[in-house]
Amino acid sequence: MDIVKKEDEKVLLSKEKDQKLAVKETITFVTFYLGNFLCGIPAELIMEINKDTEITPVPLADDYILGIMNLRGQIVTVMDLAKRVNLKEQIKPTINLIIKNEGEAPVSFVVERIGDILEVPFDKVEKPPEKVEGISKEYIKNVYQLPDKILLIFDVDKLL
Amino acid sequence: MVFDEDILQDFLVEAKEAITNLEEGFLELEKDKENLEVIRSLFRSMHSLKGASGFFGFKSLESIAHFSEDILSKIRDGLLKPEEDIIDMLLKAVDWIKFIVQHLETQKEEPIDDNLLEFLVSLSNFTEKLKKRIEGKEEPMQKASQEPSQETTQEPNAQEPTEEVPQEVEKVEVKEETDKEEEEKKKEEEPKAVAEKAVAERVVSEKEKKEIPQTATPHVELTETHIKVDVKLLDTLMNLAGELVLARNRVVQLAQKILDDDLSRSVQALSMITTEIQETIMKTRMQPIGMVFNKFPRIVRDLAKSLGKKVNLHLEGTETELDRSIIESIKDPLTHLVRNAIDHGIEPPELRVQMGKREEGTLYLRAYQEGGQVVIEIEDDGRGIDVEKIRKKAVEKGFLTLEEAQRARESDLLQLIFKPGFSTAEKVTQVSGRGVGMDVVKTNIEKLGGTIEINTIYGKGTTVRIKIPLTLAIIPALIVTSHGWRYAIPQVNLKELVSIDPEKDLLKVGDTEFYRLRGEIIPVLKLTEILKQGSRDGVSKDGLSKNLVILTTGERVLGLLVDEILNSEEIVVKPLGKWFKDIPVYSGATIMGDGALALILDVVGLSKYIGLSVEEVEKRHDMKGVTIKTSKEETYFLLLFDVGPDRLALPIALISRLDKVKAEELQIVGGKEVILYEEKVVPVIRLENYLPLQGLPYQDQYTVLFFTERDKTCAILCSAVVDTFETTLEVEEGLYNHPGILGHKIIDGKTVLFIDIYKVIEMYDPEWFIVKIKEEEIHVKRILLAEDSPFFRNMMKNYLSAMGFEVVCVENGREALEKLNIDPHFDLIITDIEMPEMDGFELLKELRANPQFSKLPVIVVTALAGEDIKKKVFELGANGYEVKLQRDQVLERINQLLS
Repeated sequence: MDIVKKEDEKVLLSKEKDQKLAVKETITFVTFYLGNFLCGIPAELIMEINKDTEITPVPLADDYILGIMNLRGQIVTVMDLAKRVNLKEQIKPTINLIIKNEGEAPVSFVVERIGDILEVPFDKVEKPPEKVEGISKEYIKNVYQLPDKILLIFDVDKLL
Repeated sequence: MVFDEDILQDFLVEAKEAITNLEEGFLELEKDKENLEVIRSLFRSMHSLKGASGFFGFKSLESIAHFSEDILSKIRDGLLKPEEDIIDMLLKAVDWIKFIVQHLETQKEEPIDDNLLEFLVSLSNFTEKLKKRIEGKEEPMQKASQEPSQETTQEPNAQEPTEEVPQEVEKVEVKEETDKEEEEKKKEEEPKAVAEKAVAERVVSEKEKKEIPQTATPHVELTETHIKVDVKLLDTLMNLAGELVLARNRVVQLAQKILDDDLSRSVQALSMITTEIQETIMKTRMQPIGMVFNKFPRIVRDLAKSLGKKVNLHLEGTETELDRSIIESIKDPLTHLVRNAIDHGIEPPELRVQMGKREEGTLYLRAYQEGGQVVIEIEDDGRGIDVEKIRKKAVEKGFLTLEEAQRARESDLLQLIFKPGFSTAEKVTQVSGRGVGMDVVKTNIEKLGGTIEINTIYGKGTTVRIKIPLTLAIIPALIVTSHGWRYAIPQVNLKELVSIDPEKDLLKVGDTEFYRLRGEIIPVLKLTEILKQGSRDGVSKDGLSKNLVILTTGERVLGLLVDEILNSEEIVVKPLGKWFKDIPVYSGATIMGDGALALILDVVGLSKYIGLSVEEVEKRHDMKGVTIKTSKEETYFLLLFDVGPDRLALPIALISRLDKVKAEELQIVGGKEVILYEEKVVPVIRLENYLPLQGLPYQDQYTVLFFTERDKTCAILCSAVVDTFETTLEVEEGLYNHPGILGHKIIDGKTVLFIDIYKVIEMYDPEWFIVKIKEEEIHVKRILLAEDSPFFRNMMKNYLSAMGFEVVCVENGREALEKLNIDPHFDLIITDIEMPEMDGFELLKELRANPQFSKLPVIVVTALAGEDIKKKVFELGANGYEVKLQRDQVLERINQLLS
């Protein structure tokens, strides 16, 4: 009796697993352009997207810090994402991507242009290639092959 | 009786707490009748309630508590079981207690209520009954069988249990039924006891009968005057208040353009209300530290008991206010420190007596505000910390090499306690846990932006001092601009504002610029240069800064040149993110009225740019290695100047003024060379007349260094000022052995002579320094001078000898002690603080611990003044604290102590 029961349980368990996998198969990314690179950050980490904000520079800070800004009473650090990842190309930062920062004030990544919102299948995400030209590899967590280009997925923890 | 409002309030708070405890406890007890812990706790609550109410003379309350306590003690001792009727009665007692407390709160005196009196009587009788129950316990069965009939006629109050039984039926298990039966049986015994009592009881029980149809006990809701609020909610409120202020400001701006009376009035009302809202919300977050401290009497009592120690706790400064979030965060660290103090600090009573201390150890928990920070001290008079043990442990565990450990000073060794993995507690006690504690304590404190330090005297006690900045600060600040961007300077650092012409008023000496402020020479920084910032609108604005803000770090004064000075405002300090932590010039940011951001400048950080505050920088960074500060590390600002081909140096602090004179302005009056300076006749000194220098060639213009003591000024002539130089005062002695020359040093490839200006002036005019005619001393006073820097050692020896003292010099604390051991006849000791092998603090401790020298006057001299150090120095038993270069004050203090 017992043995039979256990096997039934086993069968049940595996069914559950399959279901779970079935449910969680895509991650939503907000994509944006840094020069010619299409980059993405998981949508769940993004608080909002903002234009036209006044940035107060903080002299003596690192190169990639553009300064600070006032987001509804919170002091948000503004980072030039292109500089942060050592993008070889020169870009003109225009849009603020406000990122949630657990327990602390949010941070803003400034980028050039926002792309589409993409649903990326979980299992199609790959490790970054050995060499990446024109951008610093250490901040790239994964890549995803789109029909006409590659999506670079950033490791937000490393960026912050 | 009229009571102090505060004491009554405390009592009421305590009473309410006790009531809550009691209610919960009784209910718990009903479920778990054997729970001894709860019983004990209930007893304690009732007992203290009794005591407190007795103190105030609240007789009814005292009585209720007395009877209840009695019952509880019997339960606790196992003489009674907490049966239903007992618990009911006790709960009724609690209800009445509530009633009385509520009345006390509003009317400040006990209620006079018939029902209350009846209850008191019934409670008293109930207690009697219980006594009988205990006595009669040996013969329950017998009586039970004999008295079924009596029950019905004489025991109307037996109705009570029967009435209640139906209620209890729901909860009943098999056990309770039998209990109920037993109860009834027991009740039956009672009338049997004494006939009179039965009559009395009948009377009483009839009264009770009357009571039952009416409300048995008053139901009272005690109102809470305080509620708990989630801190996040307060945070949100704060932010909203800030935004409200911004919105209000915009409305005000716009309304000013529209001339409408009604609108103006409404806007003004809006404005006032907004300000009030913001201020009130700010206040909600500040809480007195007493909230945390008040938990400690209990903790200390329990802890002391469990460890077999006797501890007396003193709380001071409980009204000191802190931001709520900080109060939450320091609870744990404080608890750990208190535990440590009791566990490792205070000795067992027998040991204390043996050592000649009082049996009871004393523990102080102190809080006070000091200069923008809140200081919390945990002080005990226990056994102190064995620094030598730490020294050994440090080497054993590999934290320091043997050499480093030898040379390390006490303060450095004590800091090691905070390193993870460093625990010298031999027995890891249950109570305070492993040394995991101290490093966690430090991390937690540092998270709040605070600092922690330990001071100890072996055998006497330990003090742990925590300093936490008031982060949620609204500070008044001055708003200035640099290249169009706004910056805020905290008003606490502000001394003066001066409008200057940078071309004319600033003295450039080498790389640094100086400004003369009423005789004082102050280094000046240009904000735009420090920030290396480009202009906001692209136009270069160099040279337009005309406003000098004179700032102080408490120890040093400096000037900051800014573009514009806007206004003074109260700003809220908001912290900057981690990317800005390492930039010393900012201490935060703030949101201005119009929504724009302004960075808040940190004056101590700014002073770094002049290299003034080396010590303060060191304080900020965690000391990875153990550094020994001797004269090698203390740096001073020197003025390098040329007299002909020779180069000389003087500490800038000694120079009161710097100026240029034309050769023709020099005159000879009365045989002495003088100049007329600011309508005064100032004697001129040519150094080559007293020192082996080649001398000044004729120049059209000379630079003069003014030296002022009291009201006398003299001027030293030099060819030119070369530079200012920051360096240590390590000089080489011996080569230029001449009075007036303290030593030499090679700077930038050139030999520079360090001058003893006091000696030179004395040589020029021996009468210069003498103010009074000294009486002939039969006994020449002997001074022991401990100073490792040859520069200062020689300088001070010189001016002390000149005053007629016999001066013996040593280079550090250890040598001083050795000297004293061989030759104890000294009248005074002057000691530096920073010395190798044994610093001034340790020397002081050693001196005061030795009965032979405990009364010997000691003056501590230092290069830079500092309140912290001053306090510590006096705590350790010094008699004086002076700055080395202020010869006048040192001498005055010496005279004061020796007379």
